[in-house]
Amino acid sequence: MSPQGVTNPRLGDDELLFSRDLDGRLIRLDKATADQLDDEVTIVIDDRAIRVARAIPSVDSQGRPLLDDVGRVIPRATTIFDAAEFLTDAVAIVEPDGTTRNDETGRVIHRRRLPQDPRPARDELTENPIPILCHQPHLDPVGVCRACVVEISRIKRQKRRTERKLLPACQHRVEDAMEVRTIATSPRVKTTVNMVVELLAADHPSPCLKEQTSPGTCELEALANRLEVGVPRFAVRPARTLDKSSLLIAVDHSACILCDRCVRSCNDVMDNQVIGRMLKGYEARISFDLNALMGQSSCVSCGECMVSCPTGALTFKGSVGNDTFDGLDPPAEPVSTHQLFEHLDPEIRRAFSRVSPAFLEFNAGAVVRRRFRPGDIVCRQGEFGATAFFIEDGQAEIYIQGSLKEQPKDDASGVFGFLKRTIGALRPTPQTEGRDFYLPDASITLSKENPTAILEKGEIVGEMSCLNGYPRSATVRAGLNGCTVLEMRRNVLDILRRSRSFRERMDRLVRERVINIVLKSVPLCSTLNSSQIKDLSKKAKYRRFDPKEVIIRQDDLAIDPTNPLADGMFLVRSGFVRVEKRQADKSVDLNYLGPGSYFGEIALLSGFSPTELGLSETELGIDLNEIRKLSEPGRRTATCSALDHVEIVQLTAEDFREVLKTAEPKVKRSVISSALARLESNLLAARAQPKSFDLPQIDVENRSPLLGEFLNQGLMGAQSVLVLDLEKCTRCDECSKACSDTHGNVTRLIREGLRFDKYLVASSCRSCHDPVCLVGCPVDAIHRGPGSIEIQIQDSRCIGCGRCAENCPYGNINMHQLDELMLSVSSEHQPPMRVARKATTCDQCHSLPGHQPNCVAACPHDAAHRMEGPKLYQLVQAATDFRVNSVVS
Amino acid sequence: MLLNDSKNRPWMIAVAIVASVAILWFAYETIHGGVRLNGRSTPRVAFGIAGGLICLFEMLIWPRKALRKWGQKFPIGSTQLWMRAHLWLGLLSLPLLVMHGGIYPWGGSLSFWLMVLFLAVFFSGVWGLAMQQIIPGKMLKDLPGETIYSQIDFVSAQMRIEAERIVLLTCGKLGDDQLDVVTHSISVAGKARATTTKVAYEAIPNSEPLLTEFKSVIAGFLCPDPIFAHYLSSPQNRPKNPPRYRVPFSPLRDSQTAFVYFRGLKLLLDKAKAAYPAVDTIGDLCDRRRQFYQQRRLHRLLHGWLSVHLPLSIALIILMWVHVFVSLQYL
Ligand code: SF4
Ligand code: SF4
Ligand code: FES
Repeated sequence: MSPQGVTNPRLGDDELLFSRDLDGRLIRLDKATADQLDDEVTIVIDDRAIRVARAIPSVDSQGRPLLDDVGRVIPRATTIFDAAEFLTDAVAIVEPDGTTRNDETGRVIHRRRLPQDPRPARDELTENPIPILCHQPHLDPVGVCRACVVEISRIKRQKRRTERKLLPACQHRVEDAMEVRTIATSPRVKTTVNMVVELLAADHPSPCLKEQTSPGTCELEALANRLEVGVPRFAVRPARTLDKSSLLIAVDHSACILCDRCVRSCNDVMDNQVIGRMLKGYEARISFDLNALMGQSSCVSCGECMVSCPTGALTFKGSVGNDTFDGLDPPAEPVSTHQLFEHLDPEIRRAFSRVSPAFLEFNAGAVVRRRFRPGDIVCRQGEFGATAFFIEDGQAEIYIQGSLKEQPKDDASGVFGFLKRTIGALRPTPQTEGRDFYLPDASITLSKENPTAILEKGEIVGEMSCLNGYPRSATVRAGLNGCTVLEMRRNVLDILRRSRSFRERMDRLVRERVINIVLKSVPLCSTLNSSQIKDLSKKAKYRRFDPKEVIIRQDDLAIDPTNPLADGMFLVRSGFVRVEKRQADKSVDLNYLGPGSYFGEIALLSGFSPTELGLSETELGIDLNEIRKLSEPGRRTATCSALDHVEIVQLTAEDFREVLKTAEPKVKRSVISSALARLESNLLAARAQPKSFDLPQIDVENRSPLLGEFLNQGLMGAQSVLVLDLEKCTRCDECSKACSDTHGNVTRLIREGLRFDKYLVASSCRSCHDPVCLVGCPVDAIHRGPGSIEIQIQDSRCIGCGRCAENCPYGNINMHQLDELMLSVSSEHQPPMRVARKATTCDQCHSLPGHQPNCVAACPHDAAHRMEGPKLYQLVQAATDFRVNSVVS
Repeated sequence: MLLNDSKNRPWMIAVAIVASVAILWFAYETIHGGVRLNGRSTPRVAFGIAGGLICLFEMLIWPRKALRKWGQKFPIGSTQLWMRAHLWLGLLSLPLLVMHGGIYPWGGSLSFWLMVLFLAVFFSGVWGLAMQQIIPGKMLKDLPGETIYSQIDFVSAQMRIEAERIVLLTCGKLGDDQLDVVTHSISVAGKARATTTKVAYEAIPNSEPLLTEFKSVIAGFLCPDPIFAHYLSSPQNRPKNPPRYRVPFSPLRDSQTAFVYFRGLKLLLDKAKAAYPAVDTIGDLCDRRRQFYQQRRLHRLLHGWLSVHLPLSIALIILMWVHVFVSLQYL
């Protein structure tokens, strides 16, 4: 168990009596239980009361809920510091009726002002009154610095009893009728915290390395200034060692206050398990591996420890290159760390208040300001965006247009046109031309002239594609008076999401936008007017699923009030869903569904009558009984589960019926006939699954059917997979040689991998729809090109941490050890960064003329091809059918 | 390149037409003139020039391959276009040059040797083409476990390390020492480090025959040199040019005898049935190793002809220039 009662899978059962963190400290705490998630208590902090649940769901640093083995949320105890955070957030997101909604728990927080509270209602609590030093909201608390101590009183039998000891708010749980006093209202607490900070400051050089480079960024010194501690009265300890062995990070043990933030960041957030603590008393210090120098340890230089260090103990030696925003129109203006922290807009100021200054300085230029003229395009639908926009001033308008197709432009005419075409014919022809940019949410065209939404100052836009790697789902245009935006990289967004309030706000926004976009773009809802869409959006649910999570289960009821999560039908916004049927003791894959499709309608339709759908049987022209004959009414016919990260909009059975009732007759007919067709083809598919290519050495009984093999290899999500036709491939290695020629003699393609029928799926980036490699790059060095699907790793930014290589499920990113230490593009203020290795992956030769991947162009035997996964499946299925038919005939 | 490919059809038709026209012309001129056409006759000179130009073009595929980087920058045609042209024009050169040589006899000794060289180049190419029709398909069917040719030694060594671990876990030890040195490779985000620990494993009782057989037969078959195998467990110490080992004669080289061998091993392990899964896994590793052995053989067949085709082609071009020079003396 972690200190808050979350079971740590790394520890055995015999340790359950005590909770123990990774460094072996034993802390006696009871485990938080699931029923505490709904058990509310009232706690008063500095005379402000708040109702909070005794436990909240445990989440990772990005706010993703942590689940146990059976998929249940793991609860963690709510601490006094959490409650103070809720209170602070409550002020910021208070609604007109005086309530605030906490979406993570789905509970309303009531903020009650006590009569004796003399201060104004809004804005005075924009800062949590409890200072923290060793704690961070995204880390497990360890309670080692005691800067957060508070005075706790309990009202028992109408009597107020104050605890003799001051207790750490970051770790102490909330209890009913608890009254808490912080440095703001208790002189005793203030004196104690001052003393704690003074003692810590005495053990820390002032100004430390961080403070010297950027004044105001050492959290300890900032806290000492805030509390007016002054020069410590205690003797300063002699300087300890300085470890400069790492290329990226300098370690100054003198400035270390042993807060453990780096230890938890390295071990819990990044799971790198490099930093620990060693020795005791005055000798105690952090160590890398088994007391190695940082540069000689297994540190991967991800920088997480340095970003989380509150003092100058871990500082960066150079900053990452910031050339991404070069050459933009309108141009990008740099925004300093101080400008962000002191921003006039409280929303922006608030969002950045918890971001580490070290992070912003290390990623100098990751946030820029751009001033758009009226009508300028801020971001365009269909493009792959790696940035999000905070509207600083003015207005922006959102438009949704029809789906985009990348059209190879070759419209030159006359002699030049002829010459161009002739030379073009001699050039290697791109085999991936004309591919679709997958636009999941715009299958119908909405008016280009009428914006679907107006965005005001303080709003954020562009975050969806920045986070999920899908193309932008709408075009954003500067309003009538233009607009000024803060454009920020994905890693900045990741860091901002560590703040619970920002995350909740963004999740709420994403949910509203996704529902809105999906409902506006599916043909099913095409006849609904905007007020109907608005009503429906309020009722529809937005849900996200991780790979392998079950969405609906075969034989479950489709209308089940006890299980609202499985009720109704589902529209897929992004990701892929596996449809499988259990037969006897094995599962058979029936189909898979991609973005833009829907499921769960069959079980609902089987319960409807034609009149319920607003038509007579003859008008409908299809017999609904057919569906009943082929399936058990009201029950799910198959199990649907997520193949990758899936986003879904869920409509209840009632809403689905209403929508279908108002839909045009042709839409009704199409929904019903495709449900029938689906049922029929599912029956067929369940009966006869084509087998994979007849390889005599493979055990015939154990061969997985074609579709299963296809899905298990994740090929459905591939937008450009490199396959080698092994009947044609002479293993001459020309493809690998060409790849290495193009990329400085380092091949990004390995001619090994799984086989799919007669094709070898080579180890080379397949440009997934859901590129999980992009998740978590600490410097945002890896993204898609703006107008194309390939994954690009920006050499000048990559710090070689290997996170992307770990994330790619197909092993398509390689870490390349550099012979000479690479110098990145340096910023004006920072020395250039030096790294020992870089990540490399196939970028589909996007820098070459014609953008044709050189591996394909170089194959003399027509064996190498790049194609979309589904196309590969079609090819193989057609060939298998042909083989089966020729054997039968 | 597979001939049975619709993209080859236009080439096939074009070559057939050109060859037929040339043959008809040659036949017509021969019949019309009533005598064997001499070396200075228009058809023979024309066929000579065309054939010679084809030979020169055929040779250009070599620099095209070597300078493949140019192909990215300049419109010099795709590799596939070059390959198809090489193949079909090469086939066309046979009737042209045979008719240029007057069908038979081929004239003086220079012409004779030139023709012999040409036929050797031609048929070595045809042999290569034939191999390309057969062997990739055979490799697809017979070698599901194939690896990259140059990596065979590395992968074999890794398989030996894996087998050693399995034996260690089953028999409790590898050598005479009760504790065995195990080198673990730890890959931290693509950066590999190696640590060495001494560990004792709990043995499955009566599993000694597996250890004996592993030492005497299996290990040597998987990778003959244990030192090399252990080098590979720490990738940063990988030798740049790994030593080449011949696969020793072993019952495991043939699938039938290997089957009998492993069945016999299971009989020896009659009292240690818990060790059967380990035997099966090691059997699979040996099966893959056997596939590597066959892969090597097939690879040589698939690419070996080039070591004949290429030098002979160079000799042909040189001799062709001599022939041109000599012929010009007679004009
Ligand atoms: S690197 Fe891997 S995860 Fe990323 S897009 Fe390519 S194949 Fe997918
Ligand atoms: S691109 Fe990959 S290796 Fe480079 S910094 Fe980003 S996550 Fe780390
Ligand atoms: S912040 Fe709570 S003990 Fe350090």
